[in-house]
Amino acid sequence: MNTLCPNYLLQRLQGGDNSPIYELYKLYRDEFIVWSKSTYKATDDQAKDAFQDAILDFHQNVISGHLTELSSTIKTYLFQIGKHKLLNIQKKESRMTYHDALHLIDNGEMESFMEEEQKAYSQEQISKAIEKLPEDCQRVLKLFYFSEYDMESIAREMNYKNADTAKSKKSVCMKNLFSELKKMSMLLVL
Amino acid sequence: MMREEEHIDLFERYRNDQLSDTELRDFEARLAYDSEFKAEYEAYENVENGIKNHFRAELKSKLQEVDKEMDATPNKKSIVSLLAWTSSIAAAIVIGVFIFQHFSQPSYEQLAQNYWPYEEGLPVKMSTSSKYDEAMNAFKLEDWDKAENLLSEIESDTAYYFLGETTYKKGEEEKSISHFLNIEKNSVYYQKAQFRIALILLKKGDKTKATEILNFLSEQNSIFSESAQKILEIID
Repeated sequence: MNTLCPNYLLQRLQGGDNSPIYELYKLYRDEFIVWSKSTYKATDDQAKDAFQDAILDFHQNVISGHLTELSSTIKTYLFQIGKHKLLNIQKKESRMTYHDALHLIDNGEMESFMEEEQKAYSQEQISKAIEKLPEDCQRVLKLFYFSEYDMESIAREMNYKNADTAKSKKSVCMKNLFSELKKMSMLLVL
Repeated sequence: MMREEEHIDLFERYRNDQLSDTELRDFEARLAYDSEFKAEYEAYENVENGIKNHFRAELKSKLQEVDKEMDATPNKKSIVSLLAWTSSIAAAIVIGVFIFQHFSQPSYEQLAQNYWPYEEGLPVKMSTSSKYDEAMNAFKLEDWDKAENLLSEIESDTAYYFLGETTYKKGEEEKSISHFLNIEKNSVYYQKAQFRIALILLKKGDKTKATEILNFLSEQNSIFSESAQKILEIID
């Protein structure tokens, strides 16, 4: 069977097998770069970044159940998402260049900067805290938040007794995560 | 600092729609009047998003590893350059001619494939209809036979352009060139078509004609100038 046959590929991703995303990336990356460069004057890095995001969105849409069948080919789907990602990257970079040159930020950017500052924890802190958690907690959080598994599926995947056990475990893991974050915040204050 | 841990069970039940009607009313009222509770809930949401972002970034870094692997392998350009260099040395002797003929054409084929621009097709909108809609749906689904049949019924530069693209995808290169040649010089599709004709000619080993078209395109202020210039440098 063709391992990149759309239906088979969707089934594999839904079943938790991530390998198709690497196959797809290798298959279409160079073509996307050439297309982005000729059509949108993109740089290699912009094109790669956009195509990676397109692959991740595709993956997310499949595992979350939002994408169960394709109305176009996978390539067309990926290139369409990639195009929008690329345009956003270029828009963002052109704004940054402008601001770098003038040392100015407009009101909208100031608001988003302030919002970021007001967040309780930075992405870096959250990532560091996750990495401090035991392996099983990291897996449970990944299955719940990234793979969007329900508690029954998490229980099956983690060999827990039932969905309630998975729910308790997830709750404990979240508490541990907040505890790690709190430790980090205290260290920062000290 | 935050006391989110105390409320995690409550937040989780709220997020999973597990609160009773009374609990839900109390919860939402508290969000409205208790700013500390609201800040704790926002911190919880912030961490949930952070978890998603963390695992997404983890997967993205794996794709970046794939990039490194792909970019570390000798790229096609250098392979082509190497072949061209080898050929020029070997051209002095009869066996060199044989090597050139035997190996250089597949490189051109690879080059043409690499530079063949991706064509996404015309947008098919729900709000408006166009004579190309059905053909474009077939085109986007890569149902080349159906797309060709539907496009053949239309006479326009747009149709010729997509017929050229469609027949190329079917491997019918001569037919593809003839469709592209139907496109008028003042059409928005003209340069797109010319670039594709050059690539097909290159693929077929007709370097002279391909070079002529690529030279023309590289001198134009078009989206293909840079690609045409690069191909010319490679095949030179």
